[in-house]
Amino acid sequence: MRPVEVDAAIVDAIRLRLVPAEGTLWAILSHVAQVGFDPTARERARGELAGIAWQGRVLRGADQIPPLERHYVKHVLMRREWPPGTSLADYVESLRAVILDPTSGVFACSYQGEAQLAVIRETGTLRGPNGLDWVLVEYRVATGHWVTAYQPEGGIQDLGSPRRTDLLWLREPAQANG
Amino acid sequence: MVARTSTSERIAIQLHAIECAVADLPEIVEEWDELPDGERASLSLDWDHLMGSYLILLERYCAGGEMSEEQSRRYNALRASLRAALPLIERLNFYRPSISLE
Repeated sequence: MRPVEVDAAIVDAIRLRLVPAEGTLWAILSHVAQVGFDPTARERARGELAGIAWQGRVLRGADQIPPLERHYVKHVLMRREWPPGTSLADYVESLRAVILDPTSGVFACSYQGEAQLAVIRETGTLRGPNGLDWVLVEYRVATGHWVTAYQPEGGIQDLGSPRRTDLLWLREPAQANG
Repeated sequence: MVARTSTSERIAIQLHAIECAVADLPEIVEEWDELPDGERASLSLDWDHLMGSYLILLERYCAGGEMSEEQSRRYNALRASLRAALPLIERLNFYRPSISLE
């Protein structure tokens, strides 16, 4: 599937309440796994990251950094959700593995009015010292890239935002405890 | 198997994350309309994480008497900050805290 077809399939799933066939879902996930965070975007580091040493400098809240770096510094280095020693590349690879894991749950939804596809799986070996029960990766159709990746506590508990609507499970997550 | 941090350290990480996010809210409200779509979604999703996981865990630690005196003081101050920030949270249509802020 071409990227534009992947995005259309996600939008259609939400609009038509249509769960794609297994082959289509696999094609969607293969695309989502390889796009990563937007390498051309920049986001403010903001308060939590201010004062942290990163790549030879001390971050200020106003600094603009790539989304991948912001998420890595926040979730891996500061909040310690991933195991110690997880590198930037390890973080990305762990997220790709979650997206491609057939036991992961997959859902589509609107978030702030734009279509997203999310993949969620029990943390397993990705759980760090301050990690939680699940890993969640979200892809945003409007940007064509991942928009976040972190470890929520209660799985779908984090999904209760008023900004998230029209949620449709395309595949339920498997749970180790059944 | 990765060794878990102590409860005290987990509380410290979670308190710090929410304190910083609440402090960022006025600036985010001011900038909101100018921010790229991806950053707006990212900020809102991170807030979901803080309210849906960290704040609920902190409430449990507090109720279970697992916070130090200093952490309890900070947690009470955080709840007051969240209460004061409710108009900003509403304005952004962010995830409203699901615990009592009284």
